Amino acid sequence: MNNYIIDASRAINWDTTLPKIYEATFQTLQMVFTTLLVGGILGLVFGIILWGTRKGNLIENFVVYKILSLTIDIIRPIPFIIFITAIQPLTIGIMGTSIGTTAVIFPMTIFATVATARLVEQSLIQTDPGIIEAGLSMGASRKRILFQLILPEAICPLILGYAFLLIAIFDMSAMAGTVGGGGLGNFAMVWGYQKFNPTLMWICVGIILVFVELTQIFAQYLTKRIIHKRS
Amino acid sequence: MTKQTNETENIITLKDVNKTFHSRDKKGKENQVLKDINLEIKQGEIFGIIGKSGAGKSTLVRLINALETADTGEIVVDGIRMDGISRTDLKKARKDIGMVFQNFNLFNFKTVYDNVKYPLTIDKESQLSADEIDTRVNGLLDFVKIKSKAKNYPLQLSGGQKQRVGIARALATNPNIILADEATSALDPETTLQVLRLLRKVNRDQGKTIVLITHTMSIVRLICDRVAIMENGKVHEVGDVDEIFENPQSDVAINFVRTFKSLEATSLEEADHILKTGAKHSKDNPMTGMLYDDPEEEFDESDLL
Repeated sequence: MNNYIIDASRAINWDTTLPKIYEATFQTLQMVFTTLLVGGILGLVFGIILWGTRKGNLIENFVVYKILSLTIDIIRPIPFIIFITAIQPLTIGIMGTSIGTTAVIFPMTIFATVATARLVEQSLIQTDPGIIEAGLSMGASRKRILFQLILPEAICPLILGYAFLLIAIFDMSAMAGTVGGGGLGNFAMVWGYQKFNPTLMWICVGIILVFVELTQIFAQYLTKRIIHKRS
Repeated sequence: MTKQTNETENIITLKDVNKTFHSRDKKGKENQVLKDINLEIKQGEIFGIIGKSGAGKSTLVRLINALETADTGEIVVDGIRMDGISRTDLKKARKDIGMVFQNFNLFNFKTVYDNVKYPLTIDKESQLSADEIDTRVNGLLDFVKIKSKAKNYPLQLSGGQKQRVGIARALATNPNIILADEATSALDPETTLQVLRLLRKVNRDQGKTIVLITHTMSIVRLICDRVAIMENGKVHEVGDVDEIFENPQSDVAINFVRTFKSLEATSLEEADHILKTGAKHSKDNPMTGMLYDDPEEEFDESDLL
């Protein structure tokens, strides 16, 4: 086994391989950050609506809550790799193609939106309902209560939630590689797995690991600072 | 906003107020929390509302600033009808009613200073300049004696300090009325006294009307001018605190007064005796040391046989 790894790594032509790794890394970052931006914002909006329409909350609305909640519950359990292929017709309709980095951003964004909506809802639920009551009692509008009191109060769980989301998007981006999405996941599968080159496989794993760890460390640093300041 | 001229000095009037909570989960289950409530609270008094948990006192006090809405009845606060009020008018009206909470409900991400400042920053009509706001906030922090903690966050404060911030925040917009919902229930006895002293200072020095919810008769005795006694959504008795302690009329009031007195007992047996009879043991017939006997239990001669 050891010999095999050494042999394989010797066979790598770094002059041609390195640019491919760079390109794959770039594609991954492109997929991940576009998804994070669009899905993150849409998910925040839907998460706020989910939280707000709950029973007894600021804009209580049973029908809206149920419809949103049910939609999320239907999409979320579908394994992502199946989801990508299942909604291909829709992807073609909206993105013009179902293949390539830009095309996979569509299913990734839907999945990220749905996941974020629940993450945001759960972060907001944890805030003390007394905050809303205090805000209302002093004559604050619902908009103020949400943006000036609730969101800042929930900032730590939100930061950690988004870090968790970012890591999940890296995960998704690897699966997106299978339908021509490119990126490190695809590179690892094609060059590492199918062409029997564990070195390249582990280089990809290493790069993804670095991104994930950096995200985690940054999120933890931020929340620790906030918590330390307030307590 | 229709201001109604009030001939009496009542600042809060509730007339035939009813409120039922409908549960969505259990079909058809209804819970009438307030039944035909009629109350008049006078300008400048400390008005207590006492009742056990579930008596409806929290819902009642939330009708005053329309955090809850009544099904039927009329609620007039400082000349303004609170039932059926528009959202814009309600925001204005609420600035005239400060609220203090059992669990303080402070904004943990804001400093003490910013907590007290917040009601002023959202008050678009006040037109206070930044300097005026600063003076007002500092004045309030001085008033509740917490200025040294101005830059601290709520989580760095003790319970009593938190409630003092809560009171300063409730006073920020200079309201006429303060609603105190179990304001001392989360505090130890010593801190409770501190907070009660502060509330009385708010009442005496600033002339605020205070509506104070509690489940403890001792707090009513210490601070309230008048009290309403509630049970199962009904007000059973309203009157001057001294009179009610002297001569309670309703069973609920009698029970509360006896419970209050029973806490002065030196033994559980004596406490039970006070609860049953309302009187302490006379010296001629000390029951201390005896095993508890129910004085109302009929004497059964067969026991002797």
